[in-house]
Amino acid sequence: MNKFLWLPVMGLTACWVQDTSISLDDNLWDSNVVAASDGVYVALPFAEMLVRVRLDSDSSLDLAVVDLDGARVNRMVPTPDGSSVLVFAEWDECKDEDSEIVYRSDCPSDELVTNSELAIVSDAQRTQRLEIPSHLNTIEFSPDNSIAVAYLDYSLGGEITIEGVADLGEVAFINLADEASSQIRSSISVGFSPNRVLFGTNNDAVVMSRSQVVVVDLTTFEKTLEAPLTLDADQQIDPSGAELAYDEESGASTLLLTVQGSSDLYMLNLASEFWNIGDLGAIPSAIGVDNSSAQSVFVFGASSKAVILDHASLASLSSSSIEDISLEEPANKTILGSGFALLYHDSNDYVHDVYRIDLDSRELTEYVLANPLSELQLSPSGQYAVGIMRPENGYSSNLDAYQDSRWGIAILNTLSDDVVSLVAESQPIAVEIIENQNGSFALVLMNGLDYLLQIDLSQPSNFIPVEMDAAPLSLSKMPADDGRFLISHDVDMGMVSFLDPTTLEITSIDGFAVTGLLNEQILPRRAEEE
Amino acid sequence: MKTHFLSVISLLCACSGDAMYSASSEKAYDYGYDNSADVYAEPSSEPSAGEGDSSADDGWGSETESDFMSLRPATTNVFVFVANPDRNTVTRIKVPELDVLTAEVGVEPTLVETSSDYVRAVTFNKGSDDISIIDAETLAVSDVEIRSNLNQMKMSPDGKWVICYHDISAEGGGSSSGGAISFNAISIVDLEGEIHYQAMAGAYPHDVKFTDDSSMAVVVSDDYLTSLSLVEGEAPQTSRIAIADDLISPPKAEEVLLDPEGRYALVRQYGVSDLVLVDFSGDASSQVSLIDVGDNPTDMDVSPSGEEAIVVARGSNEIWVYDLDDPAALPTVLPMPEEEVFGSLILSPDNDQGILYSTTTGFSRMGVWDRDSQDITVRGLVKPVSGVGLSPTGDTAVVFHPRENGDVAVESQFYNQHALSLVDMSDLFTSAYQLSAEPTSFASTPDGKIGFFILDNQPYLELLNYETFVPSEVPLPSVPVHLGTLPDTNIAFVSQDHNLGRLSFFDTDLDQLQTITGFELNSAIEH
Repeated sequence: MNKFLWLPVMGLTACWVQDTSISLDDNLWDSNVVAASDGVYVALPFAEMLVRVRLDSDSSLDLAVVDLDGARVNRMVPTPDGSSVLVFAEWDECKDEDSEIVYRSDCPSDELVTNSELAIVSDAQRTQRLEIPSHLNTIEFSPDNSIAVAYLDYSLGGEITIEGVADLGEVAFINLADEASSQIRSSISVGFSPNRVLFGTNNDAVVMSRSQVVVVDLTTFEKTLEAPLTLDADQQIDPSGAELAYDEESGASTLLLTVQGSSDLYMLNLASEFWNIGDLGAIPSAIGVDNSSAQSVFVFGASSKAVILDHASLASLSSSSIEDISLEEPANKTILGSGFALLYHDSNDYVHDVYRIDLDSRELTEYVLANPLSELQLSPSGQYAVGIMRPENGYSSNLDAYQDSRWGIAILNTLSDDVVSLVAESQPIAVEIIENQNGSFALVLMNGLDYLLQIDLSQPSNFIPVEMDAAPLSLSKMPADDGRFLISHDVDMGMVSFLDPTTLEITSIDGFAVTGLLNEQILPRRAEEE
Repeated sequence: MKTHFLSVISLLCACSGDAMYSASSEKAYDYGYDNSADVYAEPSSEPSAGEGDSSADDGWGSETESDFMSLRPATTNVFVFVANPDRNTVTRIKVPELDVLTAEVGVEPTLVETSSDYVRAVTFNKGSDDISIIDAETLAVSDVEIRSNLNQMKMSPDGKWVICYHDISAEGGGSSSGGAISFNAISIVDLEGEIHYQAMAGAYPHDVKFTDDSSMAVVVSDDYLTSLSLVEGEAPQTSRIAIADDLISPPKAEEVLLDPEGRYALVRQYGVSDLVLVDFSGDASSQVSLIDVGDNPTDMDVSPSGEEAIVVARGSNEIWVYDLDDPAALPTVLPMPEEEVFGSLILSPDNDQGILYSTTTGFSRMGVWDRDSQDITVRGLVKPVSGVGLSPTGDTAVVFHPRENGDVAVESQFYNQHALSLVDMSDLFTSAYQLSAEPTSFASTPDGKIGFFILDNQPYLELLNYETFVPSEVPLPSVPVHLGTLPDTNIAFVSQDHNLGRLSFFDTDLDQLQTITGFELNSAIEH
């Protein structure tokens, strides 16, 4: 969207009409819209408002303004079930209580302070407001969506704003299931730089931070276990990846923890509270856990191998329980399907291979793509994998050179082991896979093109373009059982579309971004209200 | 005839039935090897200081058995206890589950022992001058202060007492905060009452032995045997008995046999022609007597039945066999081959055979003594001997050879190499193996089929198949430190060098190595 916009506004007065313009140096709407079960939530940065838009019964715009009590949206995260939206927001407070001060511009700059909060929104209403440090930039949800855990993941970047002092090791637990509870929010300090939260089987959360692991009871929000990763206070062990591995036979959950710059795998049996450390032989870049077969797959971005570990053998690694599988090219990511693992590399300009490892037979299948991958996803059935391929600087010529220099879509059939590399007209910016009674399809949005491609994955050369009213920016699934896809468009006044993947019918709503355009936000006086 | 099983005070694990062995070349050549010249020392006509009279000393020096193996893990029927001196903890591994728990003990635990009833483990904490008594099941720990400047600990057979002392020949001295430092003061701890007692032994004690019922202990020094009566709830009664006429420069008391019932002790000294018989039942005037033995007895073993004591008199080239029911009775004397010099003996578990050898002469020879025929068959070896072990069945002898060459020719493949030989005791078939480093620890499975050893600074567990003689090795994740076998299993364990603790277990039945690492972290887990 344009960063600068001259917007003609028709201002009506009692007796005459004035044609005027205002200058916008901010977007009217944030295209990172959030789909909830009750509609689509859209932040309006210029108007400093949050609106919910949806189609009413006659397919016209149904718009509701969410009252955030003077707060403006920084970031929104929907709960996985779509029942509510967590809105990280901030609001300005003027310490000067002069009643003449109404707008932010009225407040002396040295009297103006900014506060952070988290609003829980559903049905276009703010149902809860929590004071939460602004630097908590990452949210994880418990499997039953009842608990949200917020913490600072410094690797995500962004500015850390400190009001007074800040505990960078703080982890906030938000009880979404019982917003009336006195313990709707609890915070504990878990150590420096928490970077991963996992949810165990005993209603607990496992939080990884520098040089230690903390287990938190999600009923009491108290620490039940603190396990250091080193006995040397001068040594820093920074976790790089973590997963929970479950062994049905023993009923034990084991934390698999990889650390930066090391080939060591730390394994903490959460039932018996025993550590074991194994050497994977190379620095792992990703872990894939398949609890159905009680196996975990490790890939190594700089080493052409994969390792499969049996969960029953984690307590005592041996040469027989560490199984190296040699690859022709390295892989840094893994996706688990039913009984197999797909291995690929999304950050190496020279890797064209995708591998499938059968977790039962250890049989290795190699798929060679035309170009390197930038992302890959697996269909729900596991029969297809669809990836976005990026251009490469190859030394090939003719048609190979043509394909090398362009973006593309790769389609892998894990049953027939067929691979198709399609050349894309422009950069694919979003891919979603749907499987229904009609077959398996990929929906692909491409940069700057005002149509969407539906590719039949069983016949990749068979695709249908679906025309849209404007070029798309993002594609996502509507929550829960909605079944539709949500597309945001590059339209200044705001535009989102709903795609029915069965009929390929697209319904759009637009114009919502002008909501509150001429309203200057009044400074909230929360202290007086209280 | 009544059978007595005698204990042998010996630093040698190469005696019959022992499954653990540890050798140290540094120790081995304290007496007979000239490192600078890379040759074995010629026999000297002058006795070493404190090594008896010159008439009995053949000049070859003491036979060497094994080095003290500090930090050796201790086992019960289901647990292995490993002391972690750097972390002030002891780790318990449950077998076969390999569940690991760690308990905090005193500072710098250098020794751990388990009681024979498997109820408790005890660590000797050199850095805090105390011991930690650990409930084997619950890992509850009680600390009992002991004297400073001690470095060794021995537990009684019933597991109710430990005696701590300072052995100047052991690695590492004890801690001391200054003032008057004693080297012969000892600590005695009643483990059940958690009561500490102190006593004085002879100068420079170097071992402790208990009777079978643990009612008595003797502390061995060159000049005195110190007997201690051990009665629960009572302070030990101490009695010191001089065992040398020359208390200024006494001969080295190298081995002591203590009667299991505590009636007497037999002391073997270096460079003499007598054994010292200490009768604990007699009055003070008749407690010590001398019984004849050949010149310069250098080894004393008890037969597997416990009925005989067998002494190798290297100086007179004889074997002396004593009836332990009446050690003062006339012994049987057997000559050894005149042209050979044997100073050490190891008997097979079935008592049918013995292997004669010497660790000091540099001769690449061994003798096999048939106990029925009394014949001694001499066989050549690829190198001189630094130690000998026997498989638990006695069917195979494991002969360790030092890197030093002795009488080995320069052209030999084994010249300047460590080596090992396996000897089939049925036909004396011998197979030799060159080793890349010095063996530091040796063990066998209880079924006697597989032997294990580890090499200095080499990350491998070496396997010896006693039936096929075919060697093999299992790569270890890191450098091994100690090796042992778990009771009642065919599983070997190897503790390894790792700052967070590492143990590997090799199951010969499954041909599988399992490794646990990082168990030291368990002690830091908080709730």
